[in-house]
Amino acid sequence: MVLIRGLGAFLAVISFAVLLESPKRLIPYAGITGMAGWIGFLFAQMYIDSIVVVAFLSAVIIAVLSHIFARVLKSAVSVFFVAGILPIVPGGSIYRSVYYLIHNEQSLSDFYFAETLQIAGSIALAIFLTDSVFRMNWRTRGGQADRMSNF
Amino acid sequence: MNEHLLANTAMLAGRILLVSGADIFRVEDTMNRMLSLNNNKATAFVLATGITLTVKCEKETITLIERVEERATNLNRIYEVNCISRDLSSRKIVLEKANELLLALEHKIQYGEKLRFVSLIGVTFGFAILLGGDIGTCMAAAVAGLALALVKWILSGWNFNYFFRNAIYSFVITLTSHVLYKTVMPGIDFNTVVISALMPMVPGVTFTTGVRDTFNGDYTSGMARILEAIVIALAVSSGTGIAIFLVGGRM
Repeated sequence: MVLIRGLGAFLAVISFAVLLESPKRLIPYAGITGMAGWIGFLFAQMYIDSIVVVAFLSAVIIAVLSHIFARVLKSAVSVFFVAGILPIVPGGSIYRSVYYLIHNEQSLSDFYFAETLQIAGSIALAIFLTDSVFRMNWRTRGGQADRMSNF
Repeated sequence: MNEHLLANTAMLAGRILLVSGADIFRVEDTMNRMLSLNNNKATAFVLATGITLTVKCEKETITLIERVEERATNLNRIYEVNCISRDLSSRKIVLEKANELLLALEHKIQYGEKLRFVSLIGVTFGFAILLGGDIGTCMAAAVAGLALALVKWILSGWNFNYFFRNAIYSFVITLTSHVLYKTVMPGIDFNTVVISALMPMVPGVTFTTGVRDTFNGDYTSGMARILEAIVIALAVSSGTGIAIFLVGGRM
């Protein structure tokens, strides 16, 4: 089941990468990034209750993979990250917040609204942490590549 | 060195990057690298909504200002501008050639209308699988994705602002899903269908770039982009909200 859902993530991410006009040869890697992040999400969800922690771990997996692919394939981090993050973007929470708002269930609506902000925050934190770590690593080696590495 | 051509080329590169959704640090860095070909003093200053650039020559100062209106993420253009600017810095190509390449790149689209159409459906279908929906739900999500692609195609000639446009998209999706649920496919998971179909519009990309900008120290642009993401999220939710309200009742 996890595998099927992972493949769903792969399909969603490569399709999204096409919509974002990613360079052709890099699209499969974006798909792998997204799939790995989502499978990590599903596994983490089995052991951890807090959705914020789960989203954070998953975002870290995606960010680290994006950095690695960017180095190996001499490309940019965003090509992989921006598409790969799609599965954990809190679209569902936004929708549920509105849904319960219309159905006049204020507390549920508030809960999902807060969840949206928390997931967005944990994605932000994951980006920040991985960017900082990888940039540090790169500076020590220095050189022209540093400029290419983070966009 | 032709300073006017240099300024125009750097501006062109900056504009392509900014319109394609690159982060501010990247835009300024690329422009400054190009401008450093000129030994005089030159600076680029970029905000999320516009570019300023000034080059000091011997007798005059060239200053260009450009306002950027339409933005759409295009990773390939970001990637190629970077290649061109690096080739230029390392003197592999001359300035005239770089200008020519950038002009050709400005409107380059890799994937055709049909492929984008199919991809949109791919996103919604894949997302329903990813959320663990059954076969019927995934099919319904694909149909909702088709509705989204159609309404996008129909409205593409109209000059709506982005708030209204996103609200209409999400309204149509929610309504389509509701009709499917009530008529052809009563067994589907309505919420999963709507969430899957809304996914291509959720402003994850803008938000991510905004966060990057903020952490890079470009606070003005970072906040502008995060605000843009919030406004789009509001547009999408208001469209969905109105549709749910209109069809009424529990689903």
